[in-house]
Amino acid sequence: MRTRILLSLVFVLIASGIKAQHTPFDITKESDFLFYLEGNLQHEDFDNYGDKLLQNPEITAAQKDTLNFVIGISNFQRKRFEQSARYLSYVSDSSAFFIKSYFYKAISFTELKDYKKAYGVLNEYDFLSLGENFNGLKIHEQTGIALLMRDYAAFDTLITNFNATDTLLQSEHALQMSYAKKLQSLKRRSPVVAGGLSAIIPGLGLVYSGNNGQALSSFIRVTALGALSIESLSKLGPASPQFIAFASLFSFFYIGNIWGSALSVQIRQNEQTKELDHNIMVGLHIPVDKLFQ
Amino acid sequence: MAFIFLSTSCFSSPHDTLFAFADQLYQQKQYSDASIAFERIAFQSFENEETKCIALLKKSECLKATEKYELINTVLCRCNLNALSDSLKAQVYFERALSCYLSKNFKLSKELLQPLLSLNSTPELDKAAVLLYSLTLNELREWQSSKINMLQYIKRIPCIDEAKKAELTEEINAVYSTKNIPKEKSLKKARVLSTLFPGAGQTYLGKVGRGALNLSLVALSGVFVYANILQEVYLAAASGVYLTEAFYIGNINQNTRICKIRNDKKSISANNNIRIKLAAFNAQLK
Repeated sequence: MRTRILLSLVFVLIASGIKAQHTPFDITKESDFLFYLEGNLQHEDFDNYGDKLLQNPEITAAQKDTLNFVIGISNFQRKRFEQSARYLSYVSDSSAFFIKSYFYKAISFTELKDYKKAYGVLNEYDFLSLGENFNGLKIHEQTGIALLMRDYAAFDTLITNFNATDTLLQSEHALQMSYAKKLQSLKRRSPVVAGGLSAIIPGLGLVYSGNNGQALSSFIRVTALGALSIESLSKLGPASPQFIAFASLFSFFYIGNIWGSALSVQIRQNEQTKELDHNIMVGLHIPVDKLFQ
Repeated sequence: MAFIFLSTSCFSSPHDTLFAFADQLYQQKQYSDASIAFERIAFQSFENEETKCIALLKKSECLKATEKYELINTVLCRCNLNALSDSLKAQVYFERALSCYLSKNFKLSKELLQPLLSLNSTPELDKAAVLLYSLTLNELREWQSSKINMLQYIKRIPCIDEAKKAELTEEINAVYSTKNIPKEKSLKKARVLSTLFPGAGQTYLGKVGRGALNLSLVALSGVFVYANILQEVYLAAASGVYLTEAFYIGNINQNTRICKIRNDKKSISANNNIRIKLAAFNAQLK
């Protein structure tokens, strides 16, 4: 009798153990845990666990899409654009998150400065059937990328197709057009002219490139050293060590002023375009964030 | 016997099973998986603050094993201290303080250790906290406070006779004797000295060569001004005045950097020395 009770107990325990080992996979619970990890800023655990879940053979294709989307967006928010582009690329077009993934993937490639790929991604699908706003958003993103590539011909062609009715999208697009105008009107200044001007009057090349403060400082430095050299030459003679020292310093700063002016043209130009590129990038993010909020 | 084993596994709570699984991963040095497993326990026990806190403490062990000290504080910040017993609260404070100490955030480490010292914790944790507090104070160059902390601890050590306590007190006094604690040089004094006599501040900080160099630069530029005035080369004399002023101001400002480097170097070396002595002291208490 006692043996029988013990055996039946063993059977119950083994059966419950087997049942425990085969707990069915619950995507809702797993997603909740994944969100919990992200919410508590446990990014490393989030990444590791997300990858583990994706490798689980029990998850369906739709669940995989959702997971890829969640992981992709998390990486996007953490500015890990390489990873976000990768995960968002895995979201299939049958997923409810496809459109969102599609735009965030394009922005990720843009952030990675892979403009051609970003442009190509946006060309893959036609959004005409989804309404003018989605199509407008696509065109807005493409025109932005065209500007970043400095492909003004593509920008001019695409802009004619923009017909979105959404006010935010329209205002962002208007801003983008103003950036395009600014980019096209940026004067291409010559480093040779800047150098030449500084050779005639120290600092004038810097005024030409738009660095007025630096120009004044350069002018004062070079003329002061010039004056010191002249004074030493007239009072102490050309063989005096003082004249040689001041003349050498003057020559050094004079040549430096010419060289600096030539370089400043390129630096100033880069600064201006960098600022405009940043504004264009912000303009690509805002409508996507707002539209899919 | 078999019945006892089976019944314990049958009636153990789901958290126990999860803890056993996570502990197993930790023992197998799979720290990343163990960290997720402990985090899952914390996630599932949101109603039970104690279990959640124990899980997070164990997770911090995984992070410690992978030397991710900065993350430990953010993980343990999630423990609701109001819902914990004193001993668990003390453990959380200690782990947070230790992680801050290891990630060289000494100010925060000190802030976290102060409430811990007033909590009712185990003698072992109390000892560890006192030592960590002293080490933290050493890093903050508060050697006198560190010494007082150690002496106060000796007074309250249980199960030790007065003779032993006197011996330990003597030992701590020796560890923190004036020859072991660096005498910090005053930046203010160095700056005043350099203002009064170029190069004197640097000499006071132990950099005689630099002091001589600063003095020569200021003196030479002064001579340059004087010589040019004599020769009626006034523009050059004016530029010389500018040069002298630049050397003179530079000579004063240079002390800030020299003083910091000198004091840091001395305190690092002294703290390394004290750390070794405190470790030996700690071994004695065992």
